[in-house]
Amino acid sequence: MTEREEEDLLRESLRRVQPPDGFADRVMARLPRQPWWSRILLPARRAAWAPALAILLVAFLGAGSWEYAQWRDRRLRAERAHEELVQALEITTEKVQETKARLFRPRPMRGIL
Amino acid sequence: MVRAAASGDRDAFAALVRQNQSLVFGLAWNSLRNIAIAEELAQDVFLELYSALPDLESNAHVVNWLRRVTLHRCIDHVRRERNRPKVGLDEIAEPMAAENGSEGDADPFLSQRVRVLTASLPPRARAVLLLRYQEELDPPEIAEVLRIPVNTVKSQLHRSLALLRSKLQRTRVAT
Repeated sequence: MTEREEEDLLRESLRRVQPPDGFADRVMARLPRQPWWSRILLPARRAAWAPALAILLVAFLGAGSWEYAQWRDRRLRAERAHEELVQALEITTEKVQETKARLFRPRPMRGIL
Repeated sequence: MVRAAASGDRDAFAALVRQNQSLVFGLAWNSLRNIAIAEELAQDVFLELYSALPDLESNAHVVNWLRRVTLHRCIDHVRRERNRPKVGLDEIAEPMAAENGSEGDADPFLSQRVRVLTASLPPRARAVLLLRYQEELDPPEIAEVLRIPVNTVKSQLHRSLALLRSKLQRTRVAT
């Protein structure tokens, strides 16, 4: 047998083979039923949705974290101002108390004796 | 058709199955020589294809994917079954018609012997031989499908053909 005949024999023997009748129907019967919403979010379009969704998510997270940073900054400034006010009031109260004490301190009586 | 099937069109997917069923079933049958197992494996491959469709771009891509996945499933199956009791390959009946419906010009006994001998090769060598002669791919294309070096494909083809040749020779001498 020549090499050519040998190759022809192999091609002839190892041809594609049709499966038993109804094969495609049996495959289709095993396919999972898709819920209606998955037809809207089609798997084929998942690839197209994915980058847009990722960009949206990153933008949302970015905006959220920027807003949070701003809010935190405002809150810290308010707390600092509050503390300064309390401190100023304490100092003022202290000074008022000192002045009051000096004014009303009992003085020794002079020139009576 | 691939895009339509991927977007959930069941009729398009059924058409895709019919278009490629002889490829997948042929590889499974020529590799495993058992109709029931070949059909079950082929069905599993198409179900897997249904999930993989969103990642596949074209018909050529689908065909390439089917070849690779079918042969890997066959290799896995042969490896799993190695330790189980075996039925003699010669005892297995022939299945249904070939794709074109004709039996061809080859000697039926010789063809049967070639199929049996092919199925007795190591799984990887079997896969290479099927891609070469069932799918008529060149060694670089086989290397791409199986993701192995071209030189490995060439050496496996060479070894498998030498083995088949010597076994066929013995068969002829015996008859």
